[in-house]
Amino acid sequence: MHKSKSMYPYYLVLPALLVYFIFFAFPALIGFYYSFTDWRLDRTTIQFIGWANFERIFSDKILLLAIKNTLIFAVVTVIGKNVLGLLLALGLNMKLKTRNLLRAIYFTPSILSILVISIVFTPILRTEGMLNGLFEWLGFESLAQAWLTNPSIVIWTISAVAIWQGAGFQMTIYLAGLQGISKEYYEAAKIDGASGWRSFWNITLPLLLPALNINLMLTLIGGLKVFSEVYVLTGGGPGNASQVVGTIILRAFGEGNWGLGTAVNTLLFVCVAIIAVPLIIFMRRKEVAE
Amino acid sequence: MSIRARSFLYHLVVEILLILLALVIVVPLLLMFLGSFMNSVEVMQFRIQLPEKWQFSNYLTVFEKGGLGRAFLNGIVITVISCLVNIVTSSAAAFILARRESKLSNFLYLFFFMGLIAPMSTITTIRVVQWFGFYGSITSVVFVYAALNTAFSIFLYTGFVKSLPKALDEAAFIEGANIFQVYLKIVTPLLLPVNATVAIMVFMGVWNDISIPLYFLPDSSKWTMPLSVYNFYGMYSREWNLIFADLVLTSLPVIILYVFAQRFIVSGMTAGAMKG
Amino acid sequence: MRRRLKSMTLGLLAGTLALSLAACGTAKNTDNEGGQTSGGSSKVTLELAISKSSQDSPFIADWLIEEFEQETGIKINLQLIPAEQSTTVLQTKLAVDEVPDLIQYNLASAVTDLNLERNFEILDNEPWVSRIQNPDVLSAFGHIYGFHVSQDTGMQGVVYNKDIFEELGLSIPKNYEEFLAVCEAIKAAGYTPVFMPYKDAWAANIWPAAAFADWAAKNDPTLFDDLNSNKKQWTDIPAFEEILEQQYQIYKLGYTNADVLADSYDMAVGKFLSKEVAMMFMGDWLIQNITSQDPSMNIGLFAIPYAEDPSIGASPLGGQLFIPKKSKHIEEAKKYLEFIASPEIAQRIVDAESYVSNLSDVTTPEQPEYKQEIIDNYITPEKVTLTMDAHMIVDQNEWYRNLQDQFTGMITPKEALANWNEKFQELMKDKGAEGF
Repeated sequence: MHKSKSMYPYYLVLPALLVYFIFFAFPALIGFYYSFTDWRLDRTTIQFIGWANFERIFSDKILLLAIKNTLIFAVVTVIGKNVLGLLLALGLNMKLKTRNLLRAIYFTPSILSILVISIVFTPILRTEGMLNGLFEWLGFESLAQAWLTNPSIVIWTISAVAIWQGAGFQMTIYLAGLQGISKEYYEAAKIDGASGWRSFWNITLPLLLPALNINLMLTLIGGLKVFSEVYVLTGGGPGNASQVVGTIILRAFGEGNWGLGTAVNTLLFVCVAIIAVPLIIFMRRKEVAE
Repeated sequence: MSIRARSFLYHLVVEILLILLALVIVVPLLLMFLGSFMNSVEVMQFRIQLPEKWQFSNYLTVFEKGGLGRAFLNGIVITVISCLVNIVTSSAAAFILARRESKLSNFLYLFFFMGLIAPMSTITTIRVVQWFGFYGSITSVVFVYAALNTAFSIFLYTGFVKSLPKALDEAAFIEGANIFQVYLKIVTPLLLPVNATVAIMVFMGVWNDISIPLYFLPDSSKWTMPLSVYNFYGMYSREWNLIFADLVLTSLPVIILYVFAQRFIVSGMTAGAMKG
Repeated sequence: MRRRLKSMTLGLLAGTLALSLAACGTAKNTDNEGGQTSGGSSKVTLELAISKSSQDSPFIADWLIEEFEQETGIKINLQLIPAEQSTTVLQTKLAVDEVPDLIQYNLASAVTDLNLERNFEILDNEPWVSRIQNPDVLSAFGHIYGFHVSQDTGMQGVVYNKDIFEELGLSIPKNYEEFLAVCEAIKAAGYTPVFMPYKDAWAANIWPAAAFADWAAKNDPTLFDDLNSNKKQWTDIPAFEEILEQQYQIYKLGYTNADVLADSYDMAVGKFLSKEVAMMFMGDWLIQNITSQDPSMNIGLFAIPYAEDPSIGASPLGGQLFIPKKSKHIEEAKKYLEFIASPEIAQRIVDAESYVSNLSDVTTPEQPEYKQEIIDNYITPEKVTLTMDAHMIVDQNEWYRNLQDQFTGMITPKEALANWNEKFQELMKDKGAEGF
């Protein structure tokens, strides 16, 4: 007994713990403290100001818009990436001639930098750009929009670009999950006379839960933490129409308003925790139950 | 219609749909690729067409003016070293956490797991780096990336280690091996596939990232390739053919890596998907 | 066994640390290409930070940088900062001591934005100082901080294509109604009357900045002081609302490019060269940029016609080079200034840009027509007003964004002013300004 304790000594954990603590956990912890101060770049003293930063956040139109945009982006991309990813996986799980090529094609955008993708899409999404040109050519002029400059749809446009990039990634995970499902289940179901839809609902979906779990977590947390797409495509504009929490933090940082920026960060932390943790626990339970 | 015929038709329709949908992916990328060889007037039409003349010189111009050589080196240094630090520290930690069952190890695992959920507290991290006195250096970025990827790596590694039978370790211990020998000689070789996956995923993530350099490297000469493109884009925004060439060059390293390491990426994600 | 474990652990830790230090070492090597200064053999690279909106500055011209490198072996690396972040990025860099070796900025703004006195090197003893004719435009607090070969301040107004005006028999509009009529005529002839590249938010402030200032000069001379001491609010002035509405109307009436919020400033020169557009609200540096690419073009400048008989807007001398005190290559940076100030090089720049030379041995070239016109029509009769920019001591980026918002149609001019007023209060309070 004594032997097995010292067999796996804790100090092997130390290097990882040190790096992780110093450069991630510790800043997050002191961030909580700084959120309640008036910390600024051009001041040498810091004072505790209680909830003032948070009051400011909830009374500032732009900050509230950023929160709203972040939530919209997260929800849209979670649904988009997962639904599309699953459909693609189902399709590409079938015996198709060009299956491997298609899988590679759909996966490719997710290995490119979001910066590359955003720059490529900028001329495509202009009012006289390729996308609207396509609509005109097809005769659907009314569908043409000011994708990146109409404030009411700009965040949706950015979400679409993110889905374009990421769906292939979710697809690959779903494919892996699908391939792990033994064909016998389906054959047994067919013998029992089950329809395609029923076997999907009762066999595929439950057995895909681990993959669903991972994908949900990745897309949800990634969605709430959005930054790069918005930064490169619109910089938060036009005006402040597409600001998200990530870009607001950059703005606060740039303004030297570091206390406020940290407060926004803390708020993001709380939001992600509130949304993600129950979800993970819930999904874990479902998984175990199956 | 016979069942076979119906199934055939079904497969055909699905395949055609998927091919058409794939065009949505291919067209923008093709635009970028073809545009990179056009002259600056032609490219402004932003249409899928073959360039009149394939201007390979664009790539040379971009390489010179875009400082890509330096950005590439920066990227390699930052990515490779942070990957190494990450892999070494995380696999060691995961080994212990997966094997040792106690309240402390469970707590530590959760502590690391939070890293997957919690967003990075950027501004305070900058402050910590400043306190250490190396804000703005490549070293700081290496450590930040290593820390950010720790949660993900430990998550993957523990899952994998748990699937390795403890009996292997115990046999080695009985024969008098110490922890390092067990870790290095027995566990690490078995971890190779996961190592590859972790290495590649962390590599791609770090290589493509632009948010960290934006905050931590105010000196644009230390920027990695993607962000240097942003700089270039700002300077040459009238010359889209050059911009496209810059984009292609920046994407090449990851594409090459993907082509060669495809196997590991998919197998790693499979493992993740199965073990949850 | 324990002892061996301990030493192995240290080995692992040391290994990781060594790896990181190696990274440190490599990093330091890539950082300091030639850390030794004033050594002729080692290669020094100077970092020059400049806003994207100044990318046509002659101080960063390719030929200049190349010739400097050939002559001295010193390389210059450009750090182009997105326009709306330029102030804040520079502030951050200065605050964390990650300073570039040279910065191009405006003197007046640098005094407050970048804390000129604290952060920048005094240049009083440089060899070229004795040849400067007008040191005031380069000085603050009694010392020379900036460097420029011109003493010409930038004028802002409506840049216009004279050929198109002549072709259509148009004369310079003296008020808003005349301006709209001119736009109508131009549009009918198939040109785009006004080019508005408001993806670059700062470009939307040319019309307001000049008009506000002119109105204030004529109707309320202490207005900006009152605003800066919180005696008046931005929402108290109906004339401001009207001016903002005027600019928006020009867009609404279809007298501009279609994609106002997606087109960017760097497209401007091209639009004029291709004779697509007839006018643009901008500074006269644009004229220089156009004619340097096509000398056959006839471009001029007239004052923003928001009301009867307006003055032309002037900004304090901009685009000067400064050297931060904490630069690691001060000697080399000073060498660059010396190089530019050398009679031969300075003459080349002054000639190319048609500057009014600030150096005694560099002759001012014959002023291009448009300059002469400005002098005749505005400077001599003293119809020049400093624009709003000269009076602001806070970052105006949010103001620019509000102008963009106005152009999306989502907010009215009144709301734009109200939003800005709120932000202005915050910014002034954060700065510790009196009265807030």
